[in-house]
Amino acid sequence: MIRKGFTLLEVLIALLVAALISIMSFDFLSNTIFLKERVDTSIERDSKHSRAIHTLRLDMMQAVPYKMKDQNFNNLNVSLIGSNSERILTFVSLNTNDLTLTGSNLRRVIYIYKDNKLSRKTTLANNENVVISENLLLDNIENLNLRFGDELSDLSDYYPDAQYSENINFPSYIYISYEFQNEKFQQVLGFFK
Amino acid sequence: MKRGFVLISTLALIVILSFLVLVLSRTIYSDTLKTTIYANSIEKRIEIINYESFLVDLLIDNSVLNKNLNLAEQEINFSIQKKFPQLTLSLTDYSTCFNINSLVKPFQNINVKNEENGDLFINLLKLSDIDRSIHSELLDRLYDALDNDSLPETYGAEDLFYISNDNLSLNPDQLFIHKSQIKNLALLNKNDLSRIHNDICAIPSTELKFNVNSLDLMTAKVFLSLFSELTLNDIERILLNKPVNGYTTFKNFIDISGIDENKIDKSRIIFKPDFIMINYLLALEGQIFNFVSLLSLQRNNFVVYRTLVR
Repeated sequence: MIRKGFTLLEVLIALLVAALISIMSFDFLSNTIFLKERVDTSIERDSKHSRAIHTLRLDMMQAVPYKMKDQNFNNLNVSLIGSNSERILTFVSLNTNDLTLTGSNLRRVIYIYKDNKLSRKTTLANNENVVISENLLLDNIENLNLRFGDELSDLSDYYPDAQYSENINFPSYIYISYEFQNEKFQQVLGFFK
Repeated sequence: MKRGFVLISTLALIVILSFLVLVLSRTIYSDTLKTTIYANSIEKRIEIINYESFLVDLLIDNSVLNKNLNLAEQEINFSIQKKFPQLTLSLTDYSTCFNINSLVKPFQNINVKNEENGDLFINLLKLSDIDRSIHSELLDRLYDALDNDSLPETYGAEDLFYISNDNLSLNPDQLFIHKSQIKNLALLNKNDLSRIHNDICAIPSTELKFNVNSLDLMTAKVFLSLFSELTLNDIERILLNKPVNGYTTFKNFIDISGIDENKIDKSRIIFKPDFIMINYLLALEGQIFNFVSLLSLQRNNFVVYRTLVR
């Protein structure tokens, strides 16, 4: 007589071995999943902060010495306005290459800190009425502080400051700091001019 | 065969679990890579920026390289590979284009229109087949955009015209920063603009000079607009007779090329670039990052602008 299938003993042994391996690997697998979740959260948080700072860094790298006008079209004779009030940074940057545009490639870049949110707005270089883009960069950040200057040991809370000269368009450094979930983030950024 | 069942099922289970771990690890790796690659590209750009003063000094000091930008490009690419193996750069002479800012000239403390250069700009418009009916209007609008007064030219327009049009961005009585600002005048259509786009530039100077050592067929139109008495045969003679290390002085240029010196305004000819554009291509993890620097060939204060777009 030809036997088909498995004996009960064989099935039980197979189940036992499978169960032993599953128990042993469960710990390893659950650790990996836990690690992935932690890495994902950390990446998402860090990449948000890193993206925000890199966006600012790239805008500063592309800043041009364009003397702006105010909303009433009066000459301001400055290329950068920096402060710690709502509108923290305003300057013009050469950061678009859309050949279909009817206007120039220059954009006024405005960084705004309001209600614990940091956002970035771009408009035409000398006409803030025409908004090109608006993005939220960071949310739930506190105590954002900017400082400006040519020496890291001598930074001012606003730009242009008393030492401002019309021939110098940008400070060498901008120091930025803020808090997020009780963790302090700080960066020194340069215009590289 | 039956005994093998236990082994096969065990191995299958191990394979499935390993596959799961592998997939998770792969996701973690690729997520990390994505975030670091962008940060790396910016750090590399900053490293390259710090290297630019060396490039400027090299081009100022080496008279062989600054008279032959093709050779300079090869030399710099060769030497830069040791420090930045992922980087390739190309050089563009910005002293072979028509500087729009030369349409004004300094007078006392302000800029006033430069009619002599205005005539040369009209030559460029004619050679570019731009509709003749807009030549005067375009020139007058450019004068008004660049000069410091608030009085419109005959066919020009001052601030009020631009303020009344919400989609325009007027120029704040200063030289153009970028040639795309010509679009703010709202006068050239897309076809007209494409005809002169490669021939014009905006550099922070009111001078209009041409580096004869970078003359080629692409820049011949601008050269002919500056020296309207020259012919295509003259251009050919200049190109064919150019020494390997370039022309060095005006006398050397006239003697070697055989061009009638009365056809050339000596003050507009230079033999090495005043401004260059460096286009960087950075290859990181299979992705290409591009950025451009417009630099003035003078020590210190050499940065005109940097941008991620051309």
